[in-house]
Amino acid sequence: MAEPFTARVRLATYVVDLSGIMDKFAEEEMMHAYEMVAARGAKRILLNFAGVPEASSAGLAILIALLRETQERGQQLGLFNVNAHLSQLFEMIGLLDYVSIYETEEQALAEVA
Amino acid sequence: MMQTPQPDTEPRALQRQVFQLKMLLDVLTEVSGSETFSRMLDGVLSIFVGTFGASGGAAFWFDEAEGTWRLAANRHLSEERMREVKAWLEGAGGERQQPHVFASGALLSLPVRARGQTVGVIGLGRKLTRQPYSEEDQRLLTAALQQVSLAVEKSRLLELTQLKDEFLSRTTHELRNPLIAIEGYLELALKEPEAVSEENRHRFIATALESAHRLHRRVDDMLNVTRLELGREELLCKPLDLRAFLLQVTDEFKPLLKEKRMKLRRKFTASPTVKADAERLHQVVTNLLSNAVKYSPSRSTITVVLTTKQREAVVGVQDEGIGLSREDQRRIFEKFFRSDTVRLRNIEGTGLGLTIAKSLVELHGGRIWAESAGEGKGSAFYCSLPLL
Repeated sequence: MAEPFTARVRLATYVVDLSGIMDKFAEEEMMHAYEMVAARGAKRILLNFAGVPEASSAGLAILIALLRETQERGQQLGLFNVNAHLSQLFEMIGLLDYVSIYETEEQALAEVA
Repeated sequence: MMQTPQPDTEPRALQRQVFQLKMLLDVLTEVSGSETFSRMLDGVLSIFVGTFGASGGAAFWFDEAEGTWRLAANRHLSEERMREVKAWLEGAGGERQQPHVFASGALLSLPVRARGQTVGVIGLGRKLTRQPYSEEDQRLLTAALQQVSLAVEKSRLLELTQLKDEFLSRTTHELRNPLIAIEGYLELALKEPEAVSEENRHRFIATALESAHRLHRRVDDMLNVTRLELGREELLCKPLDLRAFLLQVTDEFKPLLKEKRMKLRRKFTASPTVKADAERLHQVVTNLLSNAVKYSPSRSTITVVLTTKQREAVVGVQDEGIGLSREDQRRIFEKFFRSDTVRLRNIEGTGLGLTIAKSLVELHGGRIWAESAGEGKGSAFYCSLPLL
């Protein structure tokens, strides 16, 4: 028997494509992008790390700051297309206790409710 | 005492150690590359937060002018945690010199030491992993903060070098001006009798002499500072009736005050005797009075105060002049320091007089300090000397 037909509407999910090394110079651009989607009422924010090969400690601090902001505003944060090295760093600092990593954009969009 | 940890051979643990050691390099880069002190602090704080996955962090710095701790940088440390750090800093038990992990485990405080004292403190919030800060974490963070301490020292040295450069330039200017005046007026005075009247010749010589005195005072200031710095100044202390002494010194200023149409008020409420080198103390009081005259408008009043407080005699010189900002009050006794107000008004001086006064008062076992309600609101300089 075929799966029942479902029609799922996902409002206010925003995808932010990131590109470049995430270091202290990334802060302005990151926070600007975040404020832009937050101002539009984003409830779920997905960060696409496909273009990010590396992150410095200051770059990780930006992610932590972003996590704090989304928590305070009741928003859900997810990451996808994260390379193995960055994934290990995120795990090491405990970020993954609060944020999920998805392999692809499709998976992220499907999972983030 | 912290133990040197044994190296962990687990790949993940090694990765963590490499990442944390990289922090030292990041901090070094930040410290050497930041354009301003506040940017450096913010950068270092970010590195700490990112490396240890701290939920937030803040830096506090001691404001010497206010005598309080101020928030210098903040990366999402909650108000509650900030209050905890401040309470720890201001709590009983004296100066904080060692890292401190709070009982809740939610906070780590790290003192920044420079010039032999705690000048700042970094507070880090709970780790996202909820693991406590280990001794190894504290060791690494303390090592990183040593770079910050060096930067603080370096900025201080840089400031001192700039002050010295400025002093040299100003001193050259100030020595050259009287010399030019001496040369010029002596040349005029030496002209043929038919070219210059006897009255003018006398006036030219008197002006040249005044310039020579000014030059003499400048050179004396510089020699005095050098002698005091080298510890070569020796006092010839004898019991001194401070009231009689102050009457004499203030009397000496009457002609100058009359010339400037200024009033002198003496409020002597005690007649203390102190053990002092009268010549050196004369230099101190003269300096304070000269400054009061120099930086006050005509028709204003200069008040000289003499009183006793506990086991000290207190001498004060109060004026209605240009006043001092909080920053000026904090720095006014520093060598070569001249306030912006003084610079902008092109008031001459080497910026050494109060440094000399401070050293001389301290040689007597006393203290010297400045008070002012702000710029344009007058100043008061006080010095205290132990009673005999």
